[in-house]
Amino acid sequence: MDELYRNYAERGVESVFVYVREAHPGENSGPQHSFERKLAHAHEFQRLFDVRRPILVDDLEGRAHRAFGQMPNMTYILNSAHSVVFRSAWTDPDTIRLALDYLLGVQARRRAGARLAPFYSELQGFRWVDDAAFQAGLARNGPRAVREFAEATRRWARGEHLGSLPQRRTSAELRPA
Amino acid sequence: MTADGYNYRVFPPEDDVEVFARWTEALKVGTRAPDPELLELASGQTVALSSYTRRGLTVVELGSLT
Repeated sequence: MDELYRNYAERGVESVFVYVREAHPGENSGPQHSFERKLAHAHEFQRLFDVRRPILVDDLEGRAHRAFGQMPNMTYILNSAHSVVFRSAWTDPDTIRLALDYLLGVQARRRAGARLAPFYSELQGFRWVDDAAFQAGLARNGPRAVREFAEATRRWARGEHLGSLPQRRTSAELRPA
Repeated sequence: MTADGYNYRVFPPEDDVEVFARWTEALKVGTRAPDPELLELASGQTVALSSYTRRGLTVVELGSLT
């Protein structure tokens, strides 16, 4: 995403990363119990991935995250009127590039005098699935993150996520650490 | 929602299924986005998200280290 940020900055596109709650907390990167801890995680994220985009940190209660829909890694494109012109449940550079090229094209055509009216559209996105990289990320967070995701995957496969969520949580907390 | 409730200790969070189900209907294209005050990591200052978006098209990614 930072490569995309650099490429499109030259064309006048801003990019920001809003730092929200930990999606897969583990022994090494646990849940955020204080804003200082959240800031430390944001700095670690910036260092680890050499993030050059501005990082904006949400508050401890996740007000911004919840207002935008609370998905773990989503992306929006907003225009200068602060309106949503694109949104994606997962962050996928190819999909974002497609949207930016289209939206920049609209701006260029309007500057050239074209009359263009907005309409609503949707797109089925397809993101890369890199299990090895994902598992490496979980391992970096700690063994608990690996174990909990493996258990969740088994439960999802059995369709248990459609059952009682409090029951799932209780069951997970009763497992030995 | 409290900070402890939001920052869950055990994955998946209690609201996992609801969040995914709700998202398709939340904050749709064409609507005005929320304008939260956020802490800018580089400056340590609190800024409104609109301080970026008013400059033009803005990609807003939300995520975390984990």
